[in-house]
Amino acid sequence: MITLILKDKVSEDLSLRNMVSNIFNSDEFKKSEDVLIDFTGIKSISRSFAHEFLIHKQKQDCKVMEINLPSDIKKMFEIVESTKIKSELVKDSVPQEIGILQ
Amino acid sequence: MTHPDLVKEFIEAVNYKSDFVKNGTLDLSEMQFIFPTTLLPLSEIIINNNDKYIPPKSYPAANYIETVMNPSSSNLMKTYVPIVSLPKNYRDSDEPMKKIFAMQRNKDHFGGESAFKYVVSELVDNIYQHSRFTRALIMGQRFDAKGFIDLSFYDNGITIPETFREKGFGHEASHAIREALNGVSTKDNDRGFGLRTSLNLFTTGLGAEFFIASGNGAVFSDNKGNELYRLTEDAGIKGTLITIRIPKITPKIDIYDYVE
Repeated sequence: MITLILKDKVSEDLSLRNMVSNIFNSDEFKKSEDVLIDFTGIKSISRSFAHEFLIHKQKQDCKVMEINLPSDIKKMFEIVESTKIKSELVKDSVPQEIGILQ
Repeated sequence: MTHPDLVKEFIEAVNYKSDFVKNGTLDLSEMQFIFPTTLLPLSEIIINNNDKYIPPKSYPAANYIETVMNPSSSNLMKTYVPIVSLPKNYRDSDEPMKKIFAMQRNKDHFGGESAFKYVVSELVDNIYQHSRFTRALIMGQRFDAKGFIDLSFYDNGITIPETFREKGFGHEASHAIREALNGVSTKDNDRGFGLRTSLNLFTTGLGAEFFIASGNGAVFSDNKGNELYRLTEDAGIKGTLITIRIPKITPKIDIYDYVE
């Protein structure tokens, strides 16, 4: 089993979707062994990163497990994994016009 | 017609840009003060046409513009930091992201560390995912006396209305932005939460104001409601501008009450 320290591989702030490829394209995943991803020192995670992470994780042939997940990071994964219905936040209305010299 | 302040600040940029197109000079000589919502849409003109830019006669205003547009200037005691330019390759984005996060300074202000990092992460991610930009700028300006911070994001890439048109959605520009804010994604039904959550978290949760202009549409939103705007041909923006005006002192919230 291989351990990947996420903070060193990516950043302590997990922001961008594209960063996820840094993890799953890394040498650790080419070794065909199960991988432990260590979340020690991770300070923040965006929903987009968490969503992309779970998509990539599902595609792996090896077993991938997260360890040392801070509770708020774990919460983000739980939210992403649950189903959603998007209610309307921005109501429809007739647009006002903006031009020059107003 | 009375517009919210963020909308007025955008209209100011529209007017200056129109003068530049007509007269060939960006004349800011009479300007006493400039907000990020005005400066960012004008930044490309200043960068690409420096010989046609007339700075403010007011020394503080001129010095401010010169400082924020100079990436090498730094003064941690000041209320503003240089505009952060996003690298085209996301692999180089860690240092710029750290600079943007550092704008918060006091981790209890402006929504708290989690909220601040969340909105910056999601809006920067949108720029990389959707815009195909050649220039993307992030600007933070603290207005301590006024009690808020402006956090502005600008990219010169494909607009939200254009992205929707590419995918076959025939929305009018402001309605396309509205759909994006409601979480409609042009990539996948399981996506589209970043902008939506950021809007809800900051307007409903933290009492912030949210302004987004993209192509020929714009939307202003706060905790009282929203307004849609159609921008005439000469008022449109080539790219996307988002400004969030965040109160310095906000209620203590859990971002997970808003993340869906």
